[in-house]
Amino acid sequence: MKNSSIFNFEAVPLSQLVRHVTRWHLAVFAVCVATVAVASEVKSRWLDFYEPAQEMHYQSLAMQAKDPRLFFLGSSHFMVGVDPRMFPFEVVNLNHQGLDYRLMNLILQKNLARWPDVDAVIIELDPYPLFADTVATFGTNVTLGRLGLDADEYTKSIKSWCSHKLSCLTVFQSPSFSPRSMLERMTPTSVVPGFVSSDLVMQQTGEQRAKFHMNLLKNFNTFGENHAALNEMIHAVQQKGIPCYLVVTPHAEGYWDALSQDVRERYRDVKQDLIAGGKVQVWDLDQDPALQIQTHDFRDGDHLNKSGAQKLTASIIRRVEDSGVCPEVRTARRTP
Amino acid sequence: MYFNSVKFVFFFVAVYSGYLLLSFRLQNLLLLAASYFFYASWNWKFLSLIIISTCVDYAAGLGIERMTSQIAKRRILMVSLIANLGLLAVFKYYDFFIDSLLGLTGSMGIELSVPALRVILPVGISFYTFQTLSYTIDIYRGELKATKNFLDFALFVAYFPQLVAGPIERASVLLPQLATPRTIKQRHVEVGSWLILSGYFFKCVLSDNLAPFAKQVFETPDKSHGAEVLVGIYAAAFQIYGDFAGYSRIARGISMLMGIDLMQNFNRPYFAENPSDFWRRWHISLSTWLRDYLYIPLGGNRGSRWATYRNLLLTMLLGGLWHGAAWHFVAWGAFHGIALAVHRFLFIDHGRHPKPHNRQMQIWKIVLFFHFTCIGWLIFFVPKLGNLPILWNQLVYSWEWNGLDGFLTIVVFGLPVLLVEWWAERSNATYAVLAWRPSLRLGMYAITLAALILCGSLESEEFIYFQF
Repeated sequence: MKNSSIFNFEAVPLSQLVRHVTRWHLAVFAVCVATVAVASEVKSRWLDFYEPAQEMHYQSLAMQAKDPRLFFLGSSHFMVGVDPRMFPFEVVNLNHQGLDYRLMNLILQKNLARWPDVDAVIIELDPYPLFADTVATFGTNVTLGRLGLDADEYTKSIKSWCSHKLSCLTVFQSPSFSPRSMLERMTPTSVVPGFVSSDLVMQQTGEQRAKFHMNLLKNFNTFGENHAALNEMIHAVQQKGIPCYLVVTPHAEGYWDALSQDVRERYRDVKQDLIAGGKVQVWDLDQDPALQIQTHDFRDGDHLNKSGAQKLTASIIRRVEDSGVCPEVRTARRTP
Repeated sequence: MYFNSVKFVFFFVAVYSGYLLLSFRLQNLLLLAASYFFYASWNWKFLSLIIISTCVDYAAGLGIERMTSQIAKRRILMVSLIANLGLLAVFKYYDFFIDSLLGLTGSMGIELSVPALRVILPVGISFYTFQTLSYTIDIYRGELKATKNFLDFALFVAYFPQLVAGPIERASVLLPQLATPRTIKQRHVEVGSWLILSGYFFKCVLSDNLAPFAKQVFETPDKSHGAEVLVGIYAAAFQIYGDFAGYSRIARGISMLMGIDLMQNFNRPYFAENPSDFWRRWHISLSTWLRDYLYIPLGGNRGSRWATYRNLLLTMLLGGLWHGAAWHFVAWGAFHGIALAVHRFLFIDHGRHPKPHNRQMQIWKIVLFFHFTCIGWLIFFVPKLGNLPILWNQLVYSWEWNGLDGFLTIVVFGLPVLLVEWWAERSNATYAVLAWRPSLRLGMYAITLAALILCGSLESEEFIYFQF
């Protein structure tokens, strides 16, 4: 310890410092602490997690669908990939970033009763909701907020969750006072219920997204429950005599390879079981050449941008048309 | 583990705490372990490359020093050069040359079958390879004594603050600092803290906020129009400066907190008045490396005028290629090589010396040369050279008054940086802010910190230079 640099630090002990130097150190420290405190507070109060706030706005509007013909249910892949405006009739697209199948199941159970006359239910099939533990990361408030409460209540539930769980981490969040964010916030945009589009291109590669997901999916504790919830959803829909379809959305190159082998294999087994079982049709649009998805159609490694969403939605419309579920599609197809 | 990640913050706090409590030798051991851990966090398999490079150059250094005959010294140097450049060639350039060869022969109707490696590029390989090369070359030239301490040398190669993106340090500067006990002075803490804070501002606020505008233009050139393209090019200029200068500042700052000085890598480059001035200010550790180990050995300016122009061009071509295995980097190098040669031809060899100092003229020169640099960035950032005409078309023939958000972002974040640098340029101070009176300094600290919290975000964008 004698030779430790902490003891041959040139600065003399605090007690022996000249008064003005001590004052200077204290001033710097005080200014830094005050700045961090004020800026963090300003950020959390004024920005209140811009993206989730925006998302809940879209979702609360989606919840107000009166008489949807198709019921889409998924995570962020549906949120950015399925554009309800492209359908010639009312569809509802309920989704939220990071949802797992257990939460999707709760949402389905609640809302299927509200819309008993839907022609089909289309559920996202993806490894993320199969392995995620959204209850642990999002909490039950969000879950409750999603289950048919009105927009204001939903907003409150998200806000309380954010301030409770993450206010200390505002510095790490992306919402910002940068000119782009401010302009975006000031620009009136037409809100599409259940759908958020973006012009961004490949903000993160497939590999980066997969690594990010693998960091979140640290253990597979919830795999069994999510798997069971997925089967339960299919069963619940079919029991009501409603056709159920599963859709795999496109992923950019490198995504699948960067997932762990275990995740890949378990997901593959689930998918194959569903296909082999013949109970439900799986529309695998991940590697569908007819979709003509290219790199510039991705917002990031597993989310589509505006052009990608148009291609995916058009492809889903074609499949809905081919399946004969909604004959109106054939005669009244339109684009936004 | 990027500097702009939460993980790194925790990593550095842990390492620094240990560093302050340990004695000098244990400090070096801790730094070496931390450096290897830091590198392994990307890909532990490539750690072997650093260890190979370390062992080869450690042995080569001792061998060159012990040998008496010049031929034997040269042989050992050649072994070191082949080993280091061989690794670089295999991991960075092999696929590029094979693809180029196949493309060329394919266009001539000749079908060749040469297997490609398709390996990912080890992070920072260009940086640590150049650093170790300078060590053996300096010993060969008799300008440096070989170190006998393997731990010190291994730390010199792998020192984590500058391992993956420089500055490319010289052994004569860094090794003595690693080989002797450090005293952390108050000045170290003061300057180091400011460098870290301003470095994060450069990266997380300036560069990351501008990145989307540059990305949009360069990745989808046919979808951007008019002013948007122009703004995208300016955004790219500030993005790469913020990114790389930010990294260098953070690297120097954290190193300075440990009592170790790293060289200044940027000196207000956008205040350069000509190409030669620019390369004295931009990526100084690389430009001086290229000067000392490539340009001068090629003959420098000792031969005929045309030989000098050739040397400048060759040096910058290789400098361009150093940045990445792609033709647009080579073209960027050629662009600057030609600019240096033309500048030399006009203003040095033909004696057209600039007029005596004139502030107005100086500003015009700076503005003009900044735009010249932007043309260079255009070449640097396009993923393929074929996109250049598309961007030109979109800029000239598809003009629209758009890109307001990008323009505002440049004004809001870029202009204050330029103003502070202008102040520093005028006062000729390295750390102008630290020379301000206390109240102004406190204000500057508060503004920078607040901007970082309100407008920046960690883990949003990777550092551009990590891929080189």
